[in-house]
Amino acid sequence: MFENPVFRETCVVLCGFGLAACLAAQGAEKGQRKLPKPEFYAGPVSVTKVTGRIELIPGEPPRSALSVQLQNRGDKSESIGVAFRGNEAQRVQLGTKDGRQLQLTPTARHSGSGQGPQGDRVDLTPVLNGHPPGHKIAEVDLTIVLPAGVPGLIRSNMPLQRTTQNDRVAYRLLRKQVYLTELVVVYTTGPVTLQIEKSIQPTGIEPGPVEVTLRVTNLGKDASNILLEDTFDPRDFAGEGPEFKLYAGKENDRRLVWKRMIGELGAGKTIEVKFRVRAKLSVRHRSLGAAKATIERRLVGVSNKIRLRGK
Amino acid sequence: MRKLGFRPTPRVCLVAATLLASTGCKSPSISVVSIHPDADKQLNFTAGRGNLSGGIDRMKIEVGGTIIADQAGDSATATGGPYLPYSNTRLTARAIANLSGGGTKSKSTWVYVANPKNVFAFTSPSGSNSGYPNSTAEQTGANLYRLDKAVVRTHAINAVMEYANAKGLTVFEVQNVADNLVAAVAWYVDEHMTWRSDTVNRTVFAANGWASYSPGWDFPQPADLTLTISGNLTNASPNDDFQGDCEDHAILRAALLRALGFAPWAIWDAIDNPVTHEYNVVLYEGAFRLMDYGEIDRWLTSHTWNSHRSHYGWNEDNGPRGVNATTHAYLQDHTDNYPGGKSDGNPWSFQIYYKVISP
Repeated sequence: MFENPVFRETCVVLCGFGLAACLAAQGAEKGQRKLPKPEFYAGPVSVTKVTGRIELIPGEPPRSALSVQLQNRGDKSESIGVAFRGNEAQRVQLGTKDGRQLQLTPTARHSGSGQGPQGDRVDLTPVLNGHPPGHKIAEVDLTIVLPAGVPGLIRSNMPLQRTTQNDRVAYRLLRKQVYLTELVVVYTTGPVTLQIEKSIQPTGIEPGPVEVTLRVTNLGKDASNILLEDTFDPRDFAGEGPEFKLYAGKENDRRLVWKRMIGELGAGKTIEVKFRVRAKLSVRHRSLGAAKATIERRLVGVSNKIRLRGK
Repeated sequence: MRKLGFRPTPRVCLVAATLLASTGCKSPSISVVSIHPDADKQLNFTAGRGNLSGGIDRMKIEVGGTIIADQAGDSATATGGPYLPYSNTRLTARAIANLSGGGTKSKSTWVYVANPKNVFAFTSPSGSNSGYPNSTAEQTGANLYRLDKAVVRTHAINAVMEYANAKGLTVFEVQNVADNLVAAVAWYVDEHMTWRSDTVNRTVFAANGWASYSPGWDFPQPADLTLTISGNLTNASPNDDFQGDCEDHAILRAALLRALGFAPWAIWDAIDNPVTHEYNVVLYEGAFRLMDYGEIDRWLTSHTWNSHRSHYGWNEDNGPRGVNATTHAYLQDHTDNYPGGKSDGNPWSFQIYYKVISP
């Protein structure tokens, strides 16, 4: 701590004025700052249920009405601050073994233009006394309602089930025994939304050919000039033919890029697009990225990623 | 450049020969199951007759000044740990033989117990563009990891929670084990981030309020901006939550690990030679291993990518980022291979990060 002799002498003098200030000065001298320790709430109160509705609104963050069910499992009453991460906490008093349901609003960010692809990030992480809960949430049941006329999501980062609510397309997030984090959903108010399911055969990748299938369904209006694009790591895969290009960045960057133009895809129609890559070696323990579709550079579809497991 | 190749000498034998310090010509033997123990794990100690002749009544094993085994006969075994109090320091172990004719003979060894957790201080950013790098010389860990930004810490916590979901663990089980922190961060970045070219990345930065971002060589994205704007849809069509090319993945992984209190000395950004790729070298299971696209498990065993001919390295304490003799020395001097100086004495090579070479 006091390895610097000049600093040590200075500290001796300054200690009369306060050791804390002295230590802070040394930290500043080294350009070091305190890093807040990540903590999880380990107390007796659990979040047992998160339910409610998130309504997506073009051009602005979504409107949310969520309920959070709390349960005090302890043998004494607890006063606890509850919020979704990033918002001001409500303080509640919970008696022994008491439960309570609160209405809370999550923080959300929006990106994209009102007329094109747009994304919302909704932080669904509850915090108890400022920290995410250490116990998993027993049950999550959220409904994400799309704007009127939007036929589907382009993508989400959590598994969702498609449904309808009052003539509007909606998705449900149903989870059990889970920690909740940030939900990302992407949609477009443009005329075309493509649902893309990506699969590979064989599912375990050993050196040799791998067939990639993109099952593309047009949930919107008639579409034309759809550019499908997928990328692969060229250290793992090779591709032959005019649809493949090896991207070499200016510096330390390589990527195998596959592209295909789809002339037309009518409303409600589905096509299966297949292409073949060659695995150079066994590929495990990683994800294959999502394929995407654009029309005139506007995003209209994103597939699932594929997680390649170990043996 | 150094000659690279498989080392013919088994590392364990050399280490054992180098480290065992005898208290006399005749002594019992003592061995530890691992030569690069992780403080989060348990260790198995074995004491034996060694080259002692004559009767031995009892054999004891002393670890860290405490007798943990006292068994009749000429051998003893014991399991100890986790050794969190000995993190990043030497743990001494001793075999003590009680001779039948009276007196004792003993022999000591030591192991360096590595634990990179709980370093909750960071270097303040100093880049001349609001703390961000404004030139190649300013591409430091502090300016690129941006641990002062709450969003980096938020996503580090997300990594712990989502990895716990995926593996059926609790957040405490993830948070309390250094290897789980590494695995969680590798998993989280693989789950949420996808490659995108620097050409497009520049466009996205410009379209999302960061036209002024001009970091010099190779357009490395600061971790906080990867998390806040790389997935935005304003004038962009991302296919994942976050996007960037190889160094952006590596920077984000390092930043998230640091935000979880992982020690600066234990997480590096590495670049190969010739330069084709950037990724991480990280302390995992007590040894330095590669961390790259995908889960940590993918890169542990043997060399598979030419892009992993590691040669240059930088981190929060050693920089700036670059490919030069200095960054080569950083990697060679700090990650060969086990912390605590238990090198096998062979020259450093990029192969040391694989279990087939450095078990």
